[in-house]
Amino acid sequence: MDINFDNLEEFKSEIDGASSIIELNDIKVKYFGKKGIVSSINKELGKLDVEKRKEIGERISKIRDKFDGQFDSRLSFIKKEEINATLKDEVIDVTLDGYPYKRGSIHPVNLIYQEVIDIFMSSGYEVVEGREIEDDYHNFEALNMPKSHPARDMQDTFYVDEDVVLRTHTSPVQIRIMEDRKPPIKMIAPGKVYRSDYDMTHLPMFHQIEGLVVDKGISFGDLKGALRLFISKMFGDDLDVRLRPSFFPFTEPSAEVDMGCVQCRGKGCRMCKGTGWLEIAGCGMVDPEVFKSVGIDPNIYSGFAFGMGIERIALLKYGIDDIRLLYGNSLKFLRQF
Amino acid sequence: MKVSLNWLNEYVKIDDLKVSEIADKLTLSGLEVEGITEFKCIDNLVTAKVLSKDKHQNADKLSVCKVTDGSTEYQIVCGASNVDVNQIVVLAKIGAVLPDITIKESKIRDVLSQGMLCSFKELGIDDSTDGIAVLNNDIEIGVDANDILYLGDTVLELNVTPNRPDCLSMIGVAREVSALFKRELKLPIRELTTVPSKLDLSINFSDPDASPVYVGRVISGIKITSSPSWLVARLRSAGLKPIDNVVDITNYILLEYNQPLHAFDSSHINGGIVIRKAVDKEKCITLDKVERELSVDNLVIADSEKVLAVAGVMGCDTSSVTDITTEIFLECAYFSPTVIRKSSKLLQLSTDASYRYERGIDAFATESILDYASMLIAEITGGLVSDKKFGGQPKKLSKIEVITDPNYVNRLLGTDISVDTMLEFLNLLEIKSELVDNRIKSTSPTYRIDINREADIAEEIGRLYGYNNIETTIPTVAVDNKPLDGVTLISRDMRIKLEALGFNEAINFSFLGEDYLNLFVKDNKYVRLLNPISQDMVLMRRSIFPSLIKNLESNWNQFERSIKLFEISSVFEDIKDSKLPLESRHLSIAMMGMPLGVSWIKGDKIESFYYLKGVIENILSTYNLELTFKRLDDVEYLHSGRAAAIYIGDRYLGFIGEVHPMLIDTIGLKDRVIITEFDLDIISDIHSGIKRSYSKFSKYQISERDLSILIDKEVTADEISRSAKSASSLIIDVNIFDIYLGKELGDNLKSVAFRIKFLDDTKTLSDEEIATELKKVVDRLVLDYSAKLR
Repeated sequence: MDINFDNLEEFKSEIDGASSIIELNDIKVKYFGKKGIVSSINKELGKLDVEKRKEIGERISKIRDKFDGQFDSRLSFIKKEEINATLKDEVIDVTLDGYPYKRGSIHPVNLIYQEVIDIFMSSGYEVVEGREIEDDYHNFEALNMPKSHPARDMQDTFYVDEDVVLRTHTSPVQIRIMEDRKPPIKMIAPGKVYRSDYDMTHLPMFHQIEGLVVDKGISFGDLKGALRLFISKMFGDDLDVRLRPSFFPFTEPSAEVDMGCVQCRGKGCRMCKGTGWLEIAGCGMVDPEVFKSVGIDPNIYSGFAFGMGIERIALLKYGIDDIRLLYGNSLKFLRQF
Repeated sequence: MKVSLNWLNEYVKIDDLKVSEIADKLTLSGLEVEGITEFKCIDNLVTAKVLSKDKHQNADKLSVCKVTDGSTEYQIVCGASNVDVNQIVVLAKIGAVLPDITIKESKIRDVLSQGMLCSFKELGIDDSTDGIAVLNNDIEIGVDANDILYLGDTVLELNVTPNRPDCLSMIGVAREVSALFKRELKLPIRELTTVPSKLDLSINFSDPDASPVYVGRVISGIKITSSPSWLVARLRSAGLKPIDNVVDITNYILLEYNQPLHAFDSSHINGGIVIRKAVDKEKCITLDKVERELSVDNLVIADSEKVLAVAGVMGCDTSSVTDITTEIFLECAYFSPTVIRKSSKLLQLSTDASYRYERGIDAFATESILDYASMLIAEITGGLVSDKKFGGQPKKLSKIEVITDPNYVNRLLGTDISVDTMLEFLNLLEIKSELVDNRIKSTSPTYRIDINREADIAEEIGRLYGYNNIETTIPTVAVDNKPLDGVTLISRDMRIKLEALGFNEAINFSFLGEDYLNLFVKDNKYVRLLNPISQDMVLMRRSIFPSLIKNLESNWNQFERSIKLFEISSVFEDIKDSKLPLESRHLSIAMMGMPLGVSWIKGDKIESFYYLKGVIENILSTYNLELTFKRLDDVEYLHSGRAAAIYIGDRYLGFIGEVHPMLIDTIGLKDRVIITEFDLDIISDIHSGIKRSYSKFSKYQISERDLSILIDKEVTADEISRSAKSASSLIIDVNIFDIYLGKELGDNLKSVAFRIKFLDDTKTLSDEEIATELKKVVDRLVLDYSAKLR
């Protein structure tokens, strides 16, 4: 029997001419399908002698290898073409907005609130928030401010009744802690406080952070150290700090704390009214009267306390020029933080 | 307290020091200088006399004056209405440079003007608007007006703290300066000369505790006029207006010595003087022409018929010095600070006198100041001081001695100051101190009422040592680091999550108006302020959301159309039988407009209720709380069909819902508002820290099957899901993916499609097993809710 291999070799041009995977598969079927050209040859093989069969078998096998090689390369070529076409179809406008998962914002006062808390916590201070409506005793009396004391005029107080006030500072928190515990105490009391004063530069509600450290041998030098550390962490190392004698009924000695102006770094500018200094906190050594009212022996223990306004720090840090913006809650303002 | 440096220089020599040097030293020793005002000398400023005054031909309000400085006559156009012939005035000649104007020869409405007649305001002395400055008639003309007006001075504005009332006076400040610069202090001296007294006056102390010292003298033959220029200038430098010579001297001594004085016209005192508590509802007219109703808490100076003065606060009209007064009774007293404070508060009348009495003056100085003041009045008014001193000191006053351990001072300050230095500092401050048995024994001067204890002595030593010279140390305190308290930590976590989810944090005042809050909840559980700033700030809020609704509205008015706000704050509720109200920490979120804003992604199709519900589930998910939402249809301020109560188990946590359309209308909001508010204290109470832990999960395949049923419209998603889950233990999830209500289903039915996920821990489920489980689900839904499979 004579087998014509000539048309078997035609697949080369057929494969090259195929332009889709379907056409390519049709070619495969034409040659190697059940009714394909090679199958019909194979059927004839049984009639041949062993020698011949072997020879033709090997030949077919070679053709098959050739076919497969060519088929695969054509297949991957066509696939690539098809994907390239899809890619072209699927072009999107990458400049359209992403899904509107817009970030919101944390209020600038609370950003500072948290930052201040973190700074003090990293120095080992405990954080206690306490109540905002207090009795006269904890807000005033226990802090060496009896009813007749002119120092009460330093704070315009909101009254709920004769004996209950909106706390004018967070100091009552310290009183409550000292009533409850024995030294050593190392704490800060952050929170809202209220004073009946509302104008261009005063808000009737604002936030304060007060610190209290009580132990044996706590000194004014320690107070300076604690404040310096805070100011350098909050505003930077290069700012000077100075203390001026002042008066608070609950501390003796008392001082106001000034730091170098954050804008001009001490040279003098509008922000610091040319002085180079910004008032940042009030502080002092806990007055013996305060210790007596909470049952701590001032002959054994000493302590320092300090207090500062969060709003003021927020204004300084973020360069906000009008304190009334803080609680206007305009999104145009809030979104900036 | 305004301090003229020229005046100060009379007591302690400072005119060789720079102003900034004085100011810095005062500030750093506790007398904060809050302002420095310079009153510069002005060239070409002379005293002149008005010779004539004629109407300006072209202007009704202007006059044309001829004035002379004694050598030259000038024509001046003047706009002040108080200008008059024969007045001695201040003439700014051509070339004078005033704070706001330079004087040039000019024509004012066609009339030549060769200078200007000045007001105190134009001279930069004060801001009075009562026309040109008219000087005393006896002042020579043609002299340099700078000398008459005491220009060329600098005035420091001091912030005097309540513990240092002594520094509310020139001499008090001078003492401080004297100690700080180690310079000698010179006190004014007047030799007392008297004439025999004609008048006898009894002084009756009915409440010695309220008036421990009360003395007075009679000065007769006085003439009430205006004060000499030096006195006027001194008062003006301190911000006081001159009135007449007697009142001016009492004010001068108030400023000089911190001792309030009061002069009565003695012809108006009938019978003796009694210092007593007022009778309830007793009336008097004070010098400010206001009728005052007094009470037993007002101390008064009275005669047998009437109240002469509210002690330490203000004199009364009936006994005041007038132009025709010829004899005065001059009072010099020390009243109890608490009594005066109460009296002044009750009358809501604070005066220079009451301010000083409240803070405490020098109780020991009254008699010597009385003599000094009497002589000064006699000198200036041409009167004579009678030899009798009335009144006295019914209570014995004692000086305070303080014993201080020098080691205590160094321990407290963290210093190493020698005892000698301490003694030097204290004695510089006239706190007489010596070392006795290794202790500092001090007697503080009687004007230093703030020095009573060791700590006060330590402060004085620290002040003079200089706070800035104290070495900085780091406190070592043996305490354990404590983590943030539950609700503080939760608040922080909420902020971070809500920020990430696109919400902006607001902070509002804790008080709101009653009318506004009553729109939401009207009852008597609000905490009310006795003295609110305004009626819009009278009640403490019990919820945050009413504030947020206001914020939504104001932002909407600023053309914001996707508003998502939150706030975390304490809220307050009055509770019966408790002095202090209940305070709890709430979180509220409020949304208005399109949750995702305008976007090509159809964000406006998003249902705000479910958006917010998802947010709540998200931010609370780390707390493992098993939240349930139950429909809430009876809250007045919420949409009865779109509100839910949020529970943790059976504990009420808060709510979520749409604001009632009626309320939206009343408030005038332009779109629907979704709010939620819940109590963070409860969350802090229930959960004990965010827990993340691993539990084994099945490694076999999850099988999913979809079911579509017809069911009663009223059956909730939660009920369907619970019912389905209860049918098979192999269900791990039920997710509704389609709800359809259509007319063809009838009025009472809805079609619900949901996907159920099955999973077994031990094997992959076969189709048959899943079919069995699915049938159980259908059967259960039929049983529970008469559902039909679609």
